[in-house]
Amino acid sequence: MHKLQLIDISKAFGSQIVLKDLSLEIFPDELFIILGSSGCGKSTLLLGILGLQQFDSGQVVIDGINVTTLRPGERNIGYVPQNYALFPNHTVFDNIAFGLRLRKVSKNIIQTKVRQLIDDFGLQGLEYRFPFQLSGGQMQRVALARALIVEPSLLLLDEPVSALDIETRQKIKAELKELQKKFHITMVYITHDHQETLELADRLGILNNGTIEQFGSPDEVFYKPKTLFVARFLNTENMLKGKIIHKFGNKATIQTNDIVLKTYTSLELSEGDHVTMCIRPGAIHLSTHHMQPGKNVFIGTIESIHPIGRDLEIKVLVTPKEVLKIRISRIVAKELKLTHGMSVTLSIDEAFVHLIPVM
Amino acid sequence: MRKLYLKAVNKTFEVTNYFFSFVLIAFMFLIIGSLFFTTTPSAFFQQMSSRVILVSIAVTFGSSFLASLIVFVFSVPTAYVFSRKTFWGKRILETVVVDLPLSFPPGVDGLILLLLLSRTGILGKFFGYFHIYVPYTFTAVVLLKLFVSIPFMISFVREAFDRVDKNIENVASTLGANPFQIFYKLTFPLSIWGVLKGLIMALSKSLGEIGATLIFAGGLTSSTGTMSVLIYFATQKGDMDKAIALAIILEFLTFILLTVIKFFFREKNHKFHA
Repeated sequence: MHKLQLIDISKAFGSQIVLKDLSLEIFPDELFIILGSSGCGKSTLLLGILGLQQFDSGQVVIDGINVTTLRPGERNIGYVPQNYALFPNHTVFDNIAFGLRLRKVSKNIIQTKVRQLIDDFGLQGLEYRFPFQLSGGQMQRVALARALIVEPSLLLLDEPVSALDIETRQKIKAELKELQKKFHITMVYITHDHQETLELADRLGILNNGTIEQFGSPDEVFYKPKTLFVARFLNTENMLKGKIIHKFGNKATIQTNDIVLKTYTSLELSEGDHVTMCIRPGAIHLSTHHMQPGKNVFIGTIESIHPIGRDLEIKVLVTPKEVLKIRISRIVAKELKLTHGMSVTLSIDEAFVHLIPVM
Repeated sequence: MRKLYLKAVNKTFEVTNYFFSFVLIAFMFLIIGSLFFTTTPSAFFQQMSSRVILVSIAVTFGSSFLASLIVFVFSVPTAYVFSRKTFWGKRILETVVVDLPLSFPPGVDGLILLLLLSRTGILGKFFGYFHIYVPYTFTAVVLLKLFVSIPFMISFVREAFDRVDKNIENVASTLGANPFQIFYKLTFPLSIWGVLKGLIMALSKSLGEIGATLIFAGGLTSSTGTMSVLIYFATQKGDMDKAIALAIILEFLTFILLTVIKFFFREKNHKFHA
């Protein structure tokens, strides 16, 4: 049950500002994901939390104790880097026991604890193998066991599944969630992968320009991006520019180039304000039956059909200037016999039209 | 048809490689091996009983081992600093310490050391106050061997340190290891093959050194007469039996030494080394 607070963290390399007054609170037992593109300062933040690099200013506080000036080993933070960084000249057993040996723990306790973790991580029979004799998944488990043996307050994971094949990646992700529950450990996970974030995060923060642009639950951040950067970074498929033409309470009517959409919003907006509407493909219902155009219902023609993983992305031309993207499964698309140029009806759930004010 | 063509290309490539390898290996064997056919066993063993030769073996190997030991002690930390630290003027420092000495023509090192440590040199004057005179002594032999082998050692060891994943050291640090523990438990063992390669190079360079020895150590006394210098003098005087005997011993002992080192630190047993 450990909590991490980052208070007004700043770091620059020469004239390049990497982190700027970044503040963040990570709650006990949660898996917090820091999501950002490469070069956004993720690694600098991580190295600073670990104490492997000094921040220019700000504080790192764990359980109310300021650890900013402590050495990495004194902060009690477990670390699993992207490439696992297993000690190549040590066996699996010695890798896991490394932290305890440094603490001069008795041999009996080391034996018991290492054996326990070897069982927990399913590493039986691999104790005397060297890292080069292990698979990616096995290396990952050893790296986790090595970090956890010293009972750290926090576990920092730097893109821990990016080097694995898809199958192992899914397996490890499930194991990480189980691990979090089993060891009641606060985890900070760094990645650039949206899918991973949606699957794993209890909460997440989007890092951009040296600061956390938005944080919240995956649903909050993915479906209600606060800024255009977040919306774009999270590949919001449908982003339409428009103007509020009517506002009453939390109900708003927005006019784009050619269409009018209704939605709810808690934002303090007024008529005439310019906004960007974000609509996730899942919020758009596609039908081959013709309905009368009306409130958030549009008739359009299929412009293109692209396979994306197990689904198909369908672009529908609603007006000559507005294209909406919808994602449906291949089976449903087959049943509906969708083809290019086909006329379809789209209805948009007004609860899922999210607005971002344009300054 | 295409299959036959590809087969022919593969074969040609293979044969070409074998041909050039064979020519090169034959050339090396011819030169190295020719020594053994240019003398008779009786002449060789007669020379072997000469005190001068036995002393020169001791001087050559003694000074080389001592120089390599000192090189090892000083070069490993220096290579670590070059590998891990970033500071202003690092590139210039590396050029002066590593690259420049490597490009010196034979003898220039000896000349520099002589100018520095002769009675009129900056350091020579200083040592003179304590009645210490370095040129033309055994210390001079060790010093110049040190000077010529340092660049090799630093360059190999630095490269080995560079290859050690920084994340390994980072993880060890988060687990509570201090810099000494990280170095002797991880960085150094992981770089051991590079360190050994550096040592082998340093030792080989020391054993074969001649130009600088002639200038800075002279090689005329029993304490400075290395095998390479004696070979040179013997050849100049036309004493070919002595020159050949010395060359055979030098070649043989160097071969044994390098083989022993390579055997004990076989690369296939150290897959995890940088």
